[in-house]
Amino acid sequence: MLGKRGGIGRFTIIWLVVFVVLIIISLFVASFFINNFAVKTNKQTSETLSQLQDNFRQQKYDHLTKHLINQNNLNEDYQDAAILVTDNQILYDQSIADGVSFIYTNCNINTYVCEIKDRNYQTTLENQFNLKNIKRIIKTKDQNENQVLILIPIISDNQLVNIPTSSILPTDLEIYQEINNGYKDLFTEYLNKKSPALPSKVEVIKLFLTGHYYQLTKDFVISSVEVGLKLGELNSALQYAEEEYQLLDDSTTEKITKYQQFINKHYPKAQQVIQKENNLENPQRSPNSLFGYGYEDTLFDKSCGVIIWKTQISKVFNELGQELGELRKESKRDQIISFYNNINIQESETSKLLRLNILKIRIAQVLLSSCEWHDYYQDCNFKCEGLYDTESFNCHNDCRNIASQKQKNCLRENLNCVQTNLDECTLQFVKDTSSPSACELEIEGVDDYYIKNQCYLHYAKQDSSLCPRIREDYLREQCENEARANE
Amino acid sequence: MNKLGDWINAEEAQGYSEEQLSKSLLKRGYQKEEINKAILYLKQKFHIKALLHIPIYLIITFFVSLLFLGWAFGEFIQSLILSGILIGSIFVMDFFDKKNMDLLSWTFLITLYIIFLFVSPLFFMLAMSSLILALIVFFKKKRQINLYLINMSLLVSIFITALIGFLIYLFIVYIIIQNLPNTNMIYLSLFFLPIVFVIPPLIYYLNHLALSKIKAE
Repeated sequence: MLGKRGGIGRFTIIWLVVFVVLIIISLFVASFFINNFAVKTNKQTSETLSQLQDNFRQQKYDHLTKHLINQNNLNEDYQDAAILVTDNQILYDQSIADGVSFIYTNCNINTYVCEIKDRNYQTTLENQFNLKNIKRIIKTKDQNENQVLILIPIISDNQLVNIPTSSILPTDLEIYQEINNGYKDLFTEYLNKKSPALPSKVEVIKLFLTGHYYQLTKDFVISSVEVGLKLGELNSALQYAEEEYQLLDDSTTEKITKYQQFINKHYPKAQQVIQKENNLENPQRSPNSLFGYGYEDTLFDKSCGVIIWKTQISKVFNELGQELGELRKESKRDQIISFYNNINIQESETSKLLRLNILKIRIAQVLLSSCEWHDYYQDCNFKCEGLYDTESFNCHNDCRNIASQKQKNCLRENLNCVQTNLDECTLQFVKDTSSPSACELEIEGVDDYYIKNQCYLHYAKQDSSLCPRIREDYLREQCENEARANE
Repeated sequence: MNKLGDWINAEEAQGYSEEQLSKSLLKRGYQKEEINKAILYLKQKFHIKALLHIPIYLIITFFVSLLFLGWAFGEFIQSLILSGILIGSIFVMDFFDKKNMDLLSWTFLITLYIIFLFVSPLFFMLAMSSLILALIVFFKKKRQINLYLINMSLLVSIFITALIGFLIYLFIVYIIIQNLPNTNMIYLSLFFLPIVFVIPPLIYYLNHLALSKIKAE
C-alpha cells in the first residue's frame, strides 16, 4: 500500500471487480428483503380485511339471532356456541345441548319462522341434525321456560347483508330504512372486497419498484378509517333514534316543533364551524420535517429531508394525510349539512321526530367539540422556542392561559352564551338538546364533571335508570331517593 | 539498544546506508539480532519532522474537512476541540518518543481515541477506520514503521475522502435529485453509488500522496 508508484491503477481495477461483485450481492439481498416486505404487507392487509369481514358477518348473525328470538317469542338472554366443521369432525360445546326440550331448525331467514322439533336424547345432536350447515347454536328459553336450541344456518354473504339491522325501531319507519340501507351498503361494499393476491417473486419486485405496496398500505388505511367513520355515523344515528323512540309519547308534534326550533337556532353556527374547518387547508409538511429529519436543521439533516421528500413513500404518506383530513371533513359535512338537507322529506311524524333528534345531537356535538385547546396552544407555542428555564416556563404558562381563554371564548360564541358563567350556559345548552345522549358528549374548556352530573340529574327526572351514571355520591343518592319517592 | 539505535540514526544522517552500518556493526562484534532490533526501534520512532513531510496543502485540506464536516453535521465546536487535541497530540507524541517513553506513547494513543469517542462519536468512527487501516499497514510492513505516523496520514486521507464524498453527495442531492420526480428509494440510492465507488481509491491515493515524501526521505 505504501511507496509503490503505479499501484493505484492495479488497485482501482481490483476494486472495480470487488465493487461489481458487491453490487450484485446487494441486489440479491435487496430482492430478498423486498420479497419479504411484499409478503408481509400482503398478509397484513389480507388478515385485517378478513377480520373486518368476519366482524361484519358476526354482526349480521347477531341480528339474525335477535330476529329469530323476537319472532318466536323466546327469551332475549341467550347463550351461544360456535360450530367448527373439520374434515371428519364437528366440534362445538356439547354441554349446550344438555337439558334442551325443543330445537328450532330449518329457520327461514326472511320470515324467521323455524321448524320446532323435539330433542331426541337417544342420539347426539350432530346425529339428530346435520350440523355441517350450521353456523352457531343458540340456547335460550321459550315462554313456558323450556330450554330450547336455535340452529342458525350458514348463510351466504349476499343473504347476510339483506338481514335487517336489529333495532327497537319499527322496520317500516323511514328513518330506520335509511339507517338500515346505510348498513347494507357498507357491509355489501366491504364483504365484496377481495384480499390482494400475491404475485410471483419477479412480479413482486416490479410492483415494489412502482410503489404498489405503499399505495396498497395507503388505500388500506383510508379504507379502514372510512369504514370506521361510516359505522360510527350509522351507530350513533341508530342510538339517538332508539333513545328518542323509547321516550315516545303523545307529544310528538310539540317535540318536533321544539327540536326544529333548536335546529333553526344552532344550525347556522354549526354550518359556519364546519365551513371554517373545511376552508382550513391541510398543512403541507415541509420537506425537512418528515420522519424527524431536519429537526436539528444542519446541512446533513436538510439534505436527508430532500431525499426523503423525493421518495414515493413520502409522497404516499403526504397524500394519506391529506385524504384522511378530507375524509374526516366529509364525514362531518355528511353528518350535519347533508343530513340537514333531508329533514324536509315526506315521512311519518315519528320518523321526522327521530331524524330531528339525530340532527339536533349532532349539531350539539359539533358546537361543543370544535373549540380545541390544543390548537390554540399550538398557535402560541412557537413563540417559546429558543427560550430556556424560567423564561420558557413562563412563556408556556402564558400560552396555556391564552389557549384556555380562547377556548372559552370560542365555546361562548358557539353556544351563543349571554350569561357570564360559561359552565351554567353550557349546562343550559345541554339541557336544551332535550336528549340524555348529550350528557355523554365530551366538552372541553368547562367543568365537565359538574355538567355531566347535573345533566344526568336533569334527565333522571324522566328516566331514573340514568341515576347510576351520576358520579357525585350525594347527587346520585338524591337522584335515587327521588326516583324511589316517585315510585 | 536505544544507544545503538541513536548511533545508527546519527550515522545515517552522515550519509551511510542501513546495509553499510549493519556490516560495520557485525564486524565490531554485535549480534545480527541485536542490530535488527536497533534498526526496528529506529524505524518505529516518531518525530515531528516526519509529519511535516506530509504536503502542506493536504494538512490544510484535512483541517478544512474536519471543520466543514463538523459544521455540516452540527458538531462544529467538537471539530474545533478535536483540531486542538490533534495538534497537541503531535507535540506530546514527539516528546514521549524523544524521551523514549514507549509505554506512555501507546497509552496516549489509546487515550486519544477515547477522547475522540467522548467528543464526537461521528468523528470517532472516522478515526477508528484510520486506526484499523493503520494497524493493517503496520503489521503488513512487519512493524517497520511508526504506527502514529501512519495513523495520522490515514486520518488525513480519510477525512479528505469524507469531505469529497460529502460534496459529491450534496451535488447529487441538491442538483440531480432536486430535478427528479418522486421515485422509489432504491432508484434514488443508485445515484449514490459513485460515492461508494470512489472512497477506497481516494483513500489509497491520498495516503500514497501523504506518505510519498516521507518514504523518499
